[in-house]
Amino acid sequence: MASGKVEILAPSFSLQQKLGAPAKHMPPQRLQSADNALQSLAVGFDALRSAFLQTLKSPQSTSEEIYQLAHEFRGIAGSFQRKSQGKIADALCRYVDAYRDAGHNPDASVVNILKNALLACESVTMTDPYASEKIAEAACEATLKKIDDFKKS
Amino acid sequence: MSAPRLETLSILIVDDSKHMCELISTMLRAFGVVHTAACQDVNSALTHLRQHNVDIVITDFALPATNGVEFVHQLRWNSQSPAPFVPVLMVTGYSDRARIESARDAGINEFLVKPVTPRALFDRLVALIDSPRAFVRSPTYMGPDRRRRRVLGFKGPYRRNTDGNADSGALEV
Repeated sequence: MASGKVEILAPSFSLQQKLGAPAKHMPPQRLQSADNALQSLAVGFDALRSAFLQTLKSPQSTSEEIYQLAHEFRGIAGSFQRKSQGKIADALCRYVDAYRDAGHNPDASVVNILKNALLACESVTMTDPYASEKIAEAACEATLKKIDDFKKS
Repeated sequence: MSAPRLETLSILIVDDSKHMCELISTMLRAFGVVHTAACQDVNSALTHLRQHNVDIVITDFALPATNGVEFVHQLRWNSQSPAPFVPVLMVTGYSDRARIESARDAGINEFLVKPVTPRALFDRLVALIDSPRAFVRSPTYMGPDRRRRRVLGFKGPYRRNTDGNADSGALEV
């Protein structure tokens, strides 16, 4: 490309042509099927959640074991009505990542606080979603501050 | 009107979480998409793209050893890229402005903030397929036109030679 030249290529409708019709005309029952399919994955999610909670509760669990499960859990938790727990799992991963990247071991007490926050969320998530959300917000805010402080130090 | 033949689509999911890959591919299959593949890192994704025709890439923002923004940058800019024009949907857990802007400037087409739901995924696919945007190649940017809105009666300032020229069909910012 010549220096400074800007080329604007017309939008390509090749995918729509390949489909033979606009994607928005997908039969609505397929969207319903996708909702049902998501529900069918709930069993797998519950197994992951149980394993994660078990690992959190076990005094023998290492930070690495907790991290691996937290990483899997954080991405899909929101799709199964566990958004607050997903946020805490994400904060946990970010915290461990920040320390690892700097060649440090994560502080076990911070992992412990997040662990307790997550377990607290679990206990109230169905009865008091607002409280669950507030616990997650507070835990995430404190963790992000901890990461910031660590990066500055 | 007949239903779209979604079974003709081929979609690559790039995410190091196998649960997330399964979640997305399950939804896609329910939509009727038959050909889905999953790669856990950028290198295997690039290899897959070299060996297969892929219509749409769905990538996570955070990937091992790098991130989705770097991946899309490589896709768009690398002279050896197997798919510089492929539509990219980026999935992320964060909606902060900095991330969205970095993804947009790397050349993604659509952005989906988790949680991933069937409706949200479907809406992004519809945007990719039914409302494609012009593709811009410039010394500093390569990707879909970042201007999504046409502002009628805009008087400038213009940033490109073709801006403001009624015959060019250019969008006005």
